Amino acid sequence: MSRGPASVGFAAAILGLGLVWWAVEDRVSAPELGSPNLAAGAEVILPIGRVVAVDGELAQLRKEPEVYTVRGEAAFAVGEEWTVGGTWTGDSVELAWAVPHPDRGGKKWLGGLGLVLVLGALARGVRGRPGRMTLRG
Amino acid sequence: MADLVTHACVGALLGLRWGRGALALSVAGSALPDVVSRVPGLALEALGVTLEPVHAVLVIGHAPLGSALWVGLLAQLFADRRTAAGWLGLGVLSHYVLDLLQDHHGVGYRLLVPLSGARWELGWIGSEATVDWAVPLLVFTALAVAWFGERSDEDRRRTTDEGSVDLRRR
Repeated sequence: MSRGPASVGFAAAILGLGLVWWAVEDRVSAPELGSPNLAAGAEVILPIGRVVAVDGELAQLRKEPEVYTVRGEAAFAVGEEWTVGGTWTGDSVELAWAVPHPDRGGKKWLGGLGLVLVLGALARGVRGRPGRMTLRG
Repeated sequence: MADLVTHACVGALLGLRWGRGALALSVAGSALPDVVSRVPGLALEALGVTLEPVHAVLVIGHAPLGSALWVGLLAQLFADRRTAAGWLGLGVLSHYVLDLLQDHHGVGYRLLVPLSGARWELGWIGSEATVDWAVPLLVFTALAVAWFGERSDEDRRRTTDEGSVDLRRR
């Protein structure tokens, strides 16, 4: 392909990506709790925080390395994981919504099994020394 | 994020038609973003290491730019770097496609790290949805790999018996 059409194509691709990015920017979430320069009044999200304390409408969720205070009605129970969204007041979150996170125990053992599958596939399919490895047919 | 068994199976299904080597690298590529970011992250958390800068660096591995760097690095291990990078890259691409299908309630994936913290996701399936499919998918993939492997062996035997290359497939 000559340089002219290739340059136009490349520029069009960049422009297209920029338009897509601008178009989907609205779908991007609110800032995550713990982000720098978070102003009071900002909408925030705390993804998969573990409930460490509950006292009526006040709960504390841990998202390493911090513990955050959440004010609002939700069926929190100590030990559970929740994703919450709301308004940052400066020292706590005024709850707007909360979604419990399902138990991820199943995913952890699948993670171990997945690693075994990857290593097994590599052992079957690749041979040779680093730098000169080849693929088996 | 999808579980690692589902990722590995998708990688295997992509590469199984082209031999064990292609299958191995597309499986490795499909697991790569999680293996270089989440696995070390979980290990560090288990050891009580919660340094934010460390985790911030690890998360780059679970973004296209970081994954591309890893693919480039790993391809150097191979005699045919271009082919290796191609199969690893295909696996990596399948990983992102699967992850982006999920719904994390607005907390999507940072695809442009470290250039931008913007997040994306399509939200078509739940974040844990693949856990239920993983074992059936593994069984199906194992059967497919065995079947295609059997056919490849037959073709190789035919080639040896006839003493010439027979490109016909049954």
